[in-house]
Amino acid sequence: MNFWHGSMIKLQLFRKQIHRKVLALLLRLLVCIITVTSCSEEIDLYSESDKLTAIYCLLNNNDSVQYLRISSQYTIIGNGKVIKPDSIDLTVKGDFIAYLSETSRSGEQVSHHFTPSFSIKKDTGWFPTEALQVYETRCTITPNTIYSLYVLFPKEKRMIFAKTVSFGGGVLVFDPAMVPGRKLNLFPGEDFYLRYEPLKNAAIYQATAKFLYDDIRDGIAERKELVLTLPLKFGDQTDIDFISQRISGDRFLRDVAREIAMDTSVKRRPVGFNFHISVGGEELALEIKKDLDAASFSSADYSSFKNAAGIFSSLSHKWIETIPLSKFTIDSLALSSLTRGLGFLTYDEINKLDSIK
Amino acid sequence: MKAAFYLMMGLLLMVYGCDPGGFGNTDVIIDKYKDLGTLDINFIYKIQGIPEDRIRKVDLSLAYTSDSLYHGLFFTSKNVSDEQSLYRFYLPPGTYYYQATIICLCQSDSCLWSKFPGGQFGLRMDGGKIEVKKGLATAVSTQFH
Repeated sequence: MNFWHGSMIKLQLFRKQIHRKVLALLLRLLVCIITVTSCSEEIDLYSESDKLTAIYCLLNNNDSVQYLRISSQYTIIGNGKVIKPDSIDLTVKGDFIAYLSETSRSGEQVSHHFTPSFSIKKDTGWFPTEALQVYETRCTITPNTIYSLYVLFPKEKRMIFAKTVSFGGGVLVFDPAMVPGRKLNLFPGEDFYLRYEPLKNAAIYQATAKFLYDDIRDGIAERKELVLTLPLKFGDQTDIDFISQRISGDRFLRDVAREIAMDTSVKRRPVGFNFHISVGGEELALEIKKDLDAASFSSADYSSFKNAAGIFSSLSHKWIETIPLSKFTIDSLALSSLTRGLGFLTYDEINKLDSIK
Repeated sequence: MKAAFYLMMGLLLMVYGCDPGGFGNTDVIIDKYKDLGTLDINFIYKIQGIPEDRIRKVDLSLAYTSDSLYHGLFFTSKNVSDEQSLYRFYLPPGTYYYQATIICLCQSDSCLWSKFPGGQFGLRMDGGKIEVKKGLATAVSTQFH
């Protein structure tokens, strides 16, 4: 009897254990089903959102008129390279007031209101020309002054704002200098150094050198140019006397040989060099750095405005026109192994040509 | 222990073995100039009676003979700058003649009184004979009397 009773208790305990195990298994199964089914819903990464206003305004030291470009930007769902933007989507609708405010050293504020501009010929291309909203204001930039840009949307009770400090002055170039008789030497073993003064509040410098030459066909000369772009220079380098950028004589001949096509029907006459230096403010430097860093996957989105996209910064240009070439530069173009097939005239041939005229 | 020793030796060979001339490729540069001498020209001027910024450098050229120098037949020339005074040439050993030219930009008679022929835009030249020796540096300073 005792044996029977003992067996019954054992059986009941075994049943309870089985019960618990089945319950635990069912519970696990339920958790799995919930986890799997709850993630089956697709997440929409691209959804309709409000358009973002994009503003571009670069204060130009060299100009008495300042320009502002305003447009809308939005997310394209699908292949953005195929879907052509519509002017309706890019245009900023509704009334807005845009003005530039200049704060003098005494704290006084002077405002310059923007009005629609029709003086700039609009580019053709991918973006619809009618969507390019360009505005202008008559304002000569005072050096080393705080400028604020305001774009006010009264109906939406929204204001876009950004601030920048203008450059300390214009670009001062030391070399090349326009000195009577001084000529530019650029041949193997002789490099040229472009030297210019760093500007206060500037952060990016881009210099280009243009090699000018004439293509002479049947006695008629046609001016041509070869652009040599020098590397970008970054940084507020006001602690140094000048920024120096090297143009290699060897590299120049290699570039000429690579870029200028051989043509037996033309004679070529070297004319000289033009230089162009563009200087940008800190905001522009950050924007360009952002684009350069994009390749390294460490890009940070940059905008001068908190509630809009775009740039409000300063820009200045300096041009140095037609620096003549030395006899050695001319002869190396005509006689060097790299460029002698391009039809460049020697120094003596040019002199002969000029004496006939 | 032995393996660690050989590993260390291998690493040391890899780091130092291929650079007998020191850091980088200085041996290539040394090779390029080993048969040449150096000529350093200190292109300076001090002209009395004219502000420093009204006198500018025009040219610094080298000729093989005094006759070529006289006729302006130079074999090389440097890019001159008012921000730089020292100019270096690497040349095969031998005798050379240099010519340094400055221009006066002052208006009125200032240039004429400072011996610039023709007054404004007048040129003054300094020239000289120099010996360049293999592996040595020759230094010369311009003098405008």
